[in-house]
Amino acid sequence: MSAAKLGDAAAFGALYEMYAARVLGYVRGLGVPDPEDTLGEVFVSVVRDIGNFHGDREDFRRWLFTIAHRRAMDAHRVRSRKREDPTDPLGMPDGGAPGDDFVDGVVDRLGLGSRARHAVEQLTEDQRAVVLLRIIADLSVAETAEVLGKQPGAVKTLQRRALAALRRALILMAVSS
Amino acid sequence: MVMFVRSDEPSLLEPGDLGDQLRELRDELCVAPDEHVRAAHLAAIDAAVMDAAAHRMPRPEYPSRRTRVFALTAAATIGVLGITGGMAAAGTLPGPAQREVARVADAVGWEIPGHPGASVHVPASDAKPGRKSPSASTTTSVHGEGRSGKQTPAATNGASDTTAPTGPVTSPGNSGTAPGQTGTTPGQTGTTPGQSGSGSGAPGNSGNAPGQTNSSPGKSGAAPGLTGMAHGNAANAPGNSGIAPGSSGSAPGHNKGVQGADTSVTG
Repeated sequence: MSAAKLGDAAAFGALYEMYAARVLGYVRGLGVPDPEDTLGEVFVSVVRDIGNFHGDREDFRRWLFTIAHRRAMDAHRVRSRKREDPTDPLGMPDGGAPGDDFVDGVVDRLGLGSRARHAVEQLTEDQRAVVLLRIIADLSVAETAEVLGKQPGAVKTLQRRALAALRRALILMAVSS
Repeated sequence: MVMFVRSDEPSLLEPGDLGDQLRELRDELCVAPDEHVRAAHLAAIDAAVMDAAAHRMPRPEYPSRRTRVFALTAAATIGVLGITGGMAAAGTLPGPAQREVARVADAVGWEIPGHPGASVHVPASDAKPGRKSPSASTTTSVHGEGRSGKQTPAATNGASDTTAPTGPVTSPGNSGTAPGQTGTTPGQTGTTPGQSGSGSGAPGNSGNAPGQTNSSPGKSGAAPGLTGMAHGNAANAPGNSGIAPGSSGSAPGHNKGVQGADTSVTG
């Protein structure tokens, strides 16, 4: 961390190797249209703003996912604006939720498709962010609240409702299957 | 993949309930980027590192906004004070402003035209009642009397105040004595003709018009022809001397001692 703060490119490379998969999984789970681009933007932001960071490794993880969350929200806003622009050929409405096409592509490409992933897609944006930060970034409730800019009590409520929704969705999937 | 283990709170990934499904979800999403994506990202990171290093280089320092504002304000203040001071020294400011500046300057010992310390008070008692001008008993400024035409002390007091302090300041011919307003009762001052205005030194500053030398015939003891009229009394308008013929100590024909001095009186 100290080497990265001194501007060592190799240190930033090591941080990328350590956290890239988790950051990519988080932005994927949030349904960002182009998660690889967002991942690159996140680490470029880390390089530019590392001078403002103070803390240890745990703090860096919270700081890194804060950047990732904001970049994901920015990507969602850009996508929403493109959809609202009728002259944008890339913004043609597809009728699906943000990121659905990407998730479907990943599922098709990797041959994966757990019921849990389909269940997570049915959560609200905040519920999804809480669950993903808890299981991917391994953040505590307080850290998750700090990343999302919410109170810990609100995060606990979101988590409780998210888990309840997941249980219902999994039960429904099991019954339907 | 790096695992983060926390012990302060129960993890959602613990076996049982939804733990298995959530762990499956995490493994499903957290897939490392492709090699070409990774290479592109590392290249972007290197570029960002170099760019950040370039931005960390010291930049030339410019004065801050606060410093610039202070300098401009100071320059404007100095400029205004300089211009005002110059105009005040030249006496070209408007009246109230000139007086105010002169008052302030007088407090620090500077002599600027228009301040109260440079004025001369003319006591009303010196003027003849009923004949003085409205401004005769007021404080008048020495400077600019030539323009204002007000009375000088020497002129007001006739020849009695022969050593008027501001006599040298008065320019020749500017005594401005209003004919008939000298307020000097003939015979009161007892000034010997020929001595009037001599203290001022300047020719023509006596302010005594012929017949105003305060020497009543027979009282002053001045011999006719010794009225001492200096050259340059032309400021006294002929006919305005207020001297009744015959009352002047200087009867025509007796001023032969001062040839040419009566030229302005006659008529």
